[in-house]
Amino acid sequence: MAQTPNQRPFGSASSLVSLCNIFIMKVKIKDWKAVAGWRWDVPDDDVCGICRAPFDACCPSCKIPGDDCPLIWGECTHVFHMHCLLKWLGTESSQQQCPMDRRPWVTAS
Amino acid sequence: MCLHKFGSELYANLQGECLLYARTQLSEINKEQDETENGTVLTATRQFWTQYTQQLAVIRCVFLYLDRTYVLQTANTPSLWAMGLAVVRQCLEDSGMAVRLARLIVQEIARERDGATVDRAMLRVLTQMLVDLNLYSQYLVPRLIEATREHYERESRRMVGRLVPVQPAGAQNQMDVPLYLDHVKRRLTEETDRTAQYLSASTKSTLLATAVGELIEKHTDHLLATSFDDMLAQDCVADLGNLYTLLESVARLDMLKRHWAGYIKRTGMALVQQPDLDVALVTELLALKQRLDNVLAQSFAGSESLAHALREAFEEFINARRNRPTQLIAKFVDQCMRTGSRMAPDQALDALLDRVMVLFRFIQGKDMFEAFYKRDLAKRLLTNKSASKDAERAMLQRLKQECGAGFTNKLEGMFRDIEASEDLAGKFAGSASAAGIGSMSFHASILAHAFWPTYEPMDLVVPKAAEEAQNAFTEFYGETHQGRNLQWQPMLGTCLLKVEFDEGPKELALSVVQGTVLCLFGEADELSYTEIQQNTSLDDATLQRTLQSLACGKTRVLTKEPKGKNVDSTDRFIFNKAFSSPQARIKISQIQTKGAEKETKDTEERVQFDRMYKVDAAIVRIMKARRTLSYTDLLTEIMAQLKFNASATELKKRIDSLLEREFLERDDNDQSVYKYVA
Ligand SMILES: [Zn+2]
Ligand SMILES: [Zn+2]
Ligand SMILES: [Zn+2]
Repeated sequence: MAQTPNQRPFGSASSLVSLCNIFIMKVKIKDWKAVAGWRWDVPDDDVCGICRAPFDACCPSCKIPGDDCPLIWGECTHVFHMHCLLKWLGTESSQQQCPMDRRPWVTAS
Repeated sequence: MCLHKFGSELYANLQGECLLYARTQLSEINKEQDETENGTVLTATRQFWTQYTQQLAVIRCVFLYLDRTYVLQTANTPSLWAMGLAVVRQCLEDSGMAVRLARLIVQEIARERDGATVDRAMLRVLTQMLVDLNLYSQYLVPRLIEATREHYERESRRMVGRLVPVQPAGAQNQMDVPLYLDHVKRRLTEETDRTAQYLSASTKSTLLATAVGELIEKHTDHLLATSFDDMLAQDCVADLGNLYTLLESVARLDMLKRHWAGYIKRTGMALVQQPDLDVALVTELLALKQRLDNVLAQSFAGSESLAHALREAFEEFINARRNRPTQLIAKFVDQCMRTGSRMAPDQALDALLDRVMVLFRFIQGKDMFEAFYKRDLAKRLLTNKSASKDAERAMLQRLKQECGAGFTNKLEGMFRDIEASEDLAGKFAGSASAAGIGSMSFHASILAHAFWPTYEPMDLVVPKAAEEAQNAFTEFYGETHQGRNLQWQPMLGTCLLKVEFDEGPKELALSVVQGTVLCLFGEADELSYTEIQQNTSLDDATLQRTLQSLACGKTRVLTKEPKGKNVDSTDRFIFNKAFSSPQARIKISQIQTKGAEKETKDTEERVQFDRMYKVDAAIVRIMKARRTLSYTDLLTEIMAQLKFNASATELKKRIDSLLEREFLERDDNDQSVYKYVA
């Protein structure tokens, strides 16, 4: 390999650059804007045992599903629209029991 | 003499004297044979009449006592004045001079119509004479009207036969319809003036009706068919106003309405069918609507019936090409919302959107518009591309008025999600969960599934740093929002990468998918298609599109081996160290074409699917309430309940499907009657 002497300094400079590159991250994330959809943590197509409407939709007394019409879980693992359950618990016949299994209603924490 | 009961004799003598005088004078006049314009029959008659009435007035004064006693007390004896006039009437009728005078007056009128100057003062005296003698309506009117009819029939036939196509205003060198209408107007003014000057006021309406009947009514078809479209196209507002007034006077507005509707449908259809017009279609339709509205107000007196025809015609052609105009109107609104006041000052933008809503009202498939609008709004919100919150809110208000709160509730939900996400981002940044994600800034938009358009899920293994941040956020979110699952939707995310090239560092604004692919080159200079796919688990279509945008587009941060426009699964990709650009921050767009088309098709299909579901639900609802219904009654009820247009065949298919699924059954006795199966 016959190289002219004046090429050597140039060559060593270029290897220095590539050496630096190892320490500088070539691609770096500055900003990440992610998007996610949320669903209630219930099986797909599951319906509220009180109003029979899907959990994706809201209870009969609400218009908009989501934050304004939340779900409520019992320790018995049954889940309802919160509004439906509160209305049920407000009736005499409920005796403060879960409408599905007639066990005393305890909200899961 | 009266006192001595000579009243009767005196009255008879006076009558005899008058008769003798009038008969002698008039027969002298009647001898004149010359009936040309210089003939003396009319002037002499005028002279006779003036003198005669003066003399009659004197006689009345002298024999005042007779007039007050004998005449009043005796039945069937007219006053001296009336007797005097009756004498002349009798002479004129007996000698045939009444006919002759009427003919000569009509002849003078004909001369005046042809442009000659006539003695209007004389004619006024003579027609008044005929009125006073009770000869006017019997002798003059029929001849005058017949002559008028003939005159204008001839004139209009000659002119209408030679009309040329509508020429630019002011440059007309031959008579076109606008000039002809001007001529007709002038003729009618002349006739009005004529009645005011020397005819009885009672003649005016018949005379004008006769003239306009010949000049306009008989040629309505021809005038409209040859020139109405051109007059509209050339925006001849004043001439159209003339046409409207004239046709209104001959009760031919029904024809105008037919041509008006025809023009709008043809013009609109031509615009809608033009394949390459795209969003410009909306601008064109708005311009057309504005032009027609202007004609309606300025030329057609804001006629309610023509306004109705305008609306009907728009509705017909806008819906002629299925969903295309609907999409384009949604897209146009999207553009307005993105560019905001850059496109037009706030007030003008408001006015523009109001006009777009008028077009929107003509659309039959509002649900289709809703779907497209929602999809575009989602993009604006997620990429922060709305020009103005006020404009968005104002648009929402308009849609609420048109579509009801059911639709806008969801859109409002989208706005709320975005605001709540900002809130969450702030809280997350200060939380313990965010401590581990380093210097990278992270933001998550959390969407309630119920409000937003449905997006196909996509598999993507995001870079480790991003994944850690997402996991940290999920953990943070779970603390305050129990009972919810988050599903990351990588096709909606965006990112900003800092990339070191030989020239120096550049900031690249990318989609999350592009960013994920490019991040792989942080550790390797060269990767094969398969290696990239294994590391990201992207499907082929998405991966090809993404690599194309990075290696084959305008901004090539990767190079491809072998070179080419398309990406193949055997290609290799090399980080392009030599990439150079004068800008420090560069946005690399995604390859849109195929994606956008598919998105449009998906949106359409989803709406079609929703419609099918809505039809099924409507049928079941109706049948549950009515139990049994004939096929035609059922169809009518369904149509009344649906917000979109569905064809009978489409509805029949849904009914058949419900029969198959045994929600309905046919009546045993009558196959055209359905029964609800409980
Ligand atoms: Zn419920
Ligand atoms: Zn509720
Ligand atoms: Zn339970």
